[in-house]
Amino acid sequence: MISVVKAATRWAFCAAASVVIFAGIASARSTTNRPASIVVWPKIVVDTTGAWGTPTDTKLMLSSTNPSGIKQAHCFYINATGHCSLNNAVACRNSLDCSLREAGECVPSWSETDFDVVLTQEQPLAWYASDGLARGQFPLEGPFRCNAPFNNFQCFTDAQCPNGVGCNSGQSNLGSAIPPAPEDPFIGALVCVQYTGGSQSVPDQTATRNRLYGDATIVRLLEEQADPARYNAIGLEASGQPVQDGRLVLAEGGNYASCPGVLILSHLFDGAVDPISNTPAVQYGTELTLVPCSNDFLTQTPGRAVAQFLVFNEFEQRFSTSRTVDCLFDSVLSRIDTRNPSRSIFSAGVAGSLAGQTRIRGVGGVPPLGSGLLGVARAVLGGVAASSAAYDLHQQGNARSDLIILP
Amino acid sequence: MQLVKRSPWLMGLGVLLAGLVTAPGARADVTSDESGTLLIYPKVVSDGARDTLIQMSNRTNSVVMVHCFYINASGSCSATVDQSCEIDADCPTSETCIRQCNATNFELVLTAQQPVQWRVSTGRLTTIPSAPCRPGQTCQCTVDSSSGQLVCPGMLIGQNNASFVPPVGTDFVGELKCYQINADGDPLPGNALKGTATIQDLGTGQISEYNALAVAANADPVNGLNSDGELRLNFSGSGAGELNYCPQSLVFTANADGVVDSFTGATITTELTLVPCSELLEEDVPAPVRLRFVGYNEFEQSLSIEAFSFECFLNRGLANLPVNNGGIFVNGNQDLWKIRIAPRPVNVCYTGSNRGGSCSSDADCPGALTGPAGTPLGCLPASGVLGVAEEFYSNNGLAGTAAFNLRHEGSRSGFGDIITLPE
Repeated sequence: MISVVKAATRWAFCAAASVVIFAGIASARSTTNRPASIVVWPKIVVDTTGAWGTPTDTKLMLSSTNPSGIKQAHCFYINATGHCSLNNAVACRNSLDCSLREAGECVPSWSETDFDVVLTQEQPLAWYASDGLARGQFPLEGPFRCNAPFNNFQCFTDAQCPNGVGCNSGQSNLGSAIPPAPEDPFIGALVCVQYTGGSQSVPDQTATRNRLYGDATIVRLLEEQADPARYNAIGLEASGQPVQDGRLVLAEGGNYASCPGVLILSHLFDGAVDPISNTPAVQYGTELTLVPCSNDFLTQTPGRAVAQFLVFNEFEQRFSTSRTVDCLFDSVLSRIDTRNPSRSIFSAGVAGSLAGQTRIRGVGGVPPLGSGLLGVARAVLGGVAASSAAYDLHQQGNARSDLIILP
Repeated sequence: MQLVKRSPWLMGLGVLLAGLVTAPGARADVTSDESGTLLIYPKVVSDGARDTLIQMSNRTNSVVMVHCFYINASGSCSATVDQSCEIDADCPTSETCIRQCNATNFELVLTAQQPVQWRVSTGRLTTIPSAPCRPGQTCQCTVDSSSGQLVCPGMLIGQNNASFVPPVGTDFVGELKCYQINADGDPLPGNALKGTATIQDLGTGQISEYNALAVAANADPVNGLNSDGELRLNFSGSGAGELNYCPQSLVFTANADGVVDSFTGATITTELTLVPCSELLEEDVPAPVRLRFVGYNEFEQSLSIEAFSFECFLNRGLANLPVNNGGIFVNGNQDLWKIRIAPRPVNVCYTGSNRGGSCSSDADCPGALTGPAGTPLGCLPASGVLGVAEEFYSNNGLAGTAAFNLRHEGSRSGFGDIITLPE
């Protein structure tokens, strides 16, 4: 009987230990499902003239779920557009964009532009990255302005506004200005941090934190139709711990949720024939975009990490490769490890099967910044002019610690 | 007979390690970016005009077994049976919309970290393994001449002598649910599954892709997921409970239906797909859903649909919410809508002669059934919902498409939701 009790005690101890460890593991990390206090759009493309191929723009949405009162978002456009070494006027994403114009190599660059957006309660906002939103274009210009489209009329009562649009004497988007993307063509990212608003605005760790979410639709204008690809922006929830000295710590016990330890990408290998049409000319390709979780906006130092890729095919075989993510990494999968896509471990011919699963882990990092990564994928069916679909990556585990330093 | 001695220390350690391997590592939510034990693809279409490519993978280094069921949700009016419908309002007066809501089961085995894919209309034949693709060669599936199903390079292992992922044909709209099982076929809280679905227009080749929704299970051997034939979505992250609660509400931002896109000139419409968190597969009865929609436009104006009902599955354009061509989240009511969808806090009879009727106790639900584990399926909270949305950018008679996952707010509480499993 005693031994039974002892056994039960030991078992209970182990079970309790496991619960403790579960609790340790069960900390928050980035999310594409819940509203949060930091919102990251990893991929924004503007190419309205089609300099990089198909005319493209990105529609961005930012929404507040706050049921009462305004919320301010302080946002940073990260411009990762490179320029060709032999012709600085030619913008590029990679060396291919330059070699096609005999303009040398693509020289990467990084700069940020910050701005504020004030959202009223439960308000959704949308804008094209190429345009932004200027004073006069916000829905609720106020205070004491008629509602759109008569924002230029000052008012104190509804009767003073034409067509019954009403006079806004309550919450408004006053203080907001969203600049257009700093160049066209443009590739980059956007990071918005929820602030408390008001005269002493600070990163929001109040009871009404975690009230923002975002969406992006990369819209391509094909010859006869539009090709939209929409993804959920990634959120990092605030913990409630006040931010010190403009340093946002993304870690367990920090100010915000951790970045993921591993990103997991489901994909068909590049060159895999579409199983639905099963026509050899209709093949899949996948673009992967990665951005570092960490950024130093104070000293204008982008986050940097090495992305380690573990690639699994349907035969349970494993391949691996790695690439440096410096500011923003955007590539077709089969150009990650080689300049000859047909010999890539991401090509269907090399992988041997149609479906793949790639695990991506950020390592290295430049202290004090961390090595966490965020990303999004875009599946492309049938070559450059064909259709596409963006989707969020899966995630597993927590990165150790990341840091965003505000200016 | 040899008596096997079990070390409680080792057993406890096993529990610990199992927990380490299987712990979802996140809050007790339904997610679309984590792995889980229960995987839900809310929108699967194979209707002759569109088809769906399913991708599923195992994120662990162990072999996992999976039980799946397609739920065919095509509906027709109760008397005018040739008329398809989503809700009762789609049918002539005094008729109701009857959903098929029947399940087709199959099982799979996924090896460590293995991804698999299949085309929904044709399914895929088991291949253990078929020849791999080679560099320089076209890498594609072939069509099996006798069955019409796809045979693809890669290893796809059927479970329990099942030979394939079954085809659903070209008259299917509904959902796919899969859950992890052990060798006995009982639910296993491994939290290893994740997936994506790609819906493709067969005419234009336009694709849209979303992540399947994953529900993590409680791996506690005493208070967690068990094998009683009922999957209960009643876990809050601590204590007892089987699978994470469904969300308290869903929220998403959509272009107002019919608005014209300034960049492409396309007219944008949005289709919303919702599925109940509760599913009575054993009883073959659709779960009743009662919802409230509240929308906020960019001017902070609010419109709502207070009492919206459906069963089994809803796939509907915003222009048709709440009724056909009577949508409120449309272009005339501004350009942008943030829409929150929440189950109404009411109790409904799940089974019995008053099925679908409001109730305050099981006595209001005469003839109500009980679940495989004895849970009364009488007066229960109206089911939670999960879903996905898809945008259509239409110009020149052609539509570009983009699917996206909805946001989740909070978690349900109390009873939660229930899925009864067929024996």
